[in-house]
Amino acid sequence: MNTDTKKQSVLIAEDDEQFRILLRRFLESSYDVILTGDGEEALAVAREKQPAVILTDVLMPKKSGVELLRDLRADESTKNIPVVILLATAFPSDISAAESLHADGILPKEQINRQNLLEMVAKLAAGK
Amino acid sequence: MMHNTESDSLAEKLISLSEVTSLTSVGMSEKQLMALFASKLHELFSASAFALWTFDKDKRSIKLRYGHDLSEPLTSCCLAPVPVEQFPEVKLAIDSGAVWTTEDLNDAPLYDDQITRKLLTSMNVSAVMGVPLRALTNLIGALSFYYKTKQHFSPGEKALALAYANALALSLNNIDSYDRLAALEKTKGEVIHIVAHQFRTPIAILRGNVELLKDKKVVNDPETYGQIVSELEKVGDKLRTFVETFLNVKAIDEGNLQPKPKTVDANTLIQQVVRDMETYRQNHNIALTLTTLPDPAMISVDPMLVAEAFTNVVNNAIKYAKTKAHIEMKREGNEVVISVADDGVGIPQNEQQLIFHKMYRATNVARHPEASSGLGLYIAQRYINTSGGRVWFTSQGEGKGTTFYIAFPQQQ
Repeated sequence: MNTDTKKQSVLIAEDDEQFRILLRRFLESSYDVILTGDGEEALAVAREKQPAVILTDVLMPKKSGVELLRDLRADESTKNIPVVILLATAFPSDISAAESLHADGILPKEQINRQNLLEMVAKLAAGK
Repeated sequence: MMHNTESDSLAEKLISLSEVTSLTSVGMSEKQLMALFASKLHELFSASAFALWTFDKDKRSIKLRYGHDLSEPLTSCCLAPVPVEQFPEVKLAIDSGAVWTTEDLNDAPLYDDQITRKLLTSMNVSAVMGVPLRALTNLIGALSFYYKTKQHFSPGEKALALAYANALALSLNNIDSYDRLAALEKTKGEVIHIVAHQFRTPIAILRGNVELLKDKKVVNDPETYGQIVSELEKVGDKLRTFVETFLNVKAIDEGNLQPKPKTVDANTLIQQVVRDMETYRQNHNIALTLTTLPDPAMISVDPMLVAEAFTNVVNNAIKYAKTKAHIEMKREGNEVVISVADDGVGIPQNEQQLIFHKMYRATNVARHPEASSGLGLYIAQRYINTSGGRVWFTSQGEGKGTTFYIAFPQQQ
């Protein structure tokens, strides 16, 4: 197998099924997309699959996106994976928590389109 | 007849009192307000201390809301409700709606009660004046003025005390109104936040899928095209539901809810709700079990409203459960009772009476990862009541799960 043509993987943590599917459609031509529905599942998959980039929602069952980011940073095996927070909330505490935990990107959900998402993921995946 | 000197002195005191009232302002705390009024006590009256009493819930007991220079025994005894008879000047001022005085406590059989006398003796009180506290037309309690020497209360001093009490009551009323408005404003801000959150994801889905539909590859792939159109339909339904929820709350508030009752099988209704929530349940990885009744359980309700009420209650059970939730239907007397039990976060004891209030979210779920408008249980209760049913719950407290019960009269 030629490793040069193997797609990098992007892990998505998002509890809204429709939004998960949309993100997969935006990214699937360029990346292997792994979908998870909550923060706990995302953490386990991140440890196992070592994705190039993680995109996470904030408000999710079991473990929020901010908690996921904190746990990823605290784990030696995942601390360097770039993480983008997808915000549907304007709670200042979530934004400041994401910033203080050094999220690699913050994208307000309603501003996401295929182009800006692909650009952000490509930039972060290239830097990994 | 009032002498000129007494009249002049009273006029000066009234001016001084008006200065106090002019210094009160919206946003002032109760503590600041009371300190402001207390600062004029000695200037306006020869009293050494005063107590502000407000009614407890039933108007038969009173609580010390503020005390100035009171003795420790009096303060500590009366922060909890005490019978209004315990303080005769308060009872008589409230009953008569006028100033009531005792010029010499040693000559006042009303104060023979040992507890009262002991409390007043602890401050060396010799004379007492009770003044009703009236905010506009609303009697909210009374003021007690305590004097260390025997007094002769002139009509002028009584009138001044009444003016002082009225000004204080009005200011307190303004502060309470302001606090209520401020709390409402805060809630409104939070709700706008939540509403914005609830709309943002569907809007993002809507925009994203429309963008995909512009892609020629998608247009030429009937399967993907159909899936995206289906996504758009779903998100349209989601947005419609949000809007309907808010309009329904408005209809409830304005008394415009018009149920359309039908006789339906409660088994079928609850089964449909559980089926519709399957994706939500899977996302939360919660085991949801349902025990229906073996034969039809006919109830006369508006099926749309009651299905939404069931949905809201079951949604909460799934959202807040740790691992499992169980729905069980029973017949109890002439009622069909549906219980929805979860093993989740429970409801703090001191918040249980607020749980059906509009926009109320218990403190232990206020920052739950899933946003909530605090409208679900409010709507559920109103819909169930409108359909002739009852809803209640039991919760042993935080971390001990919650069980909601919904009951409707069974139709023959």
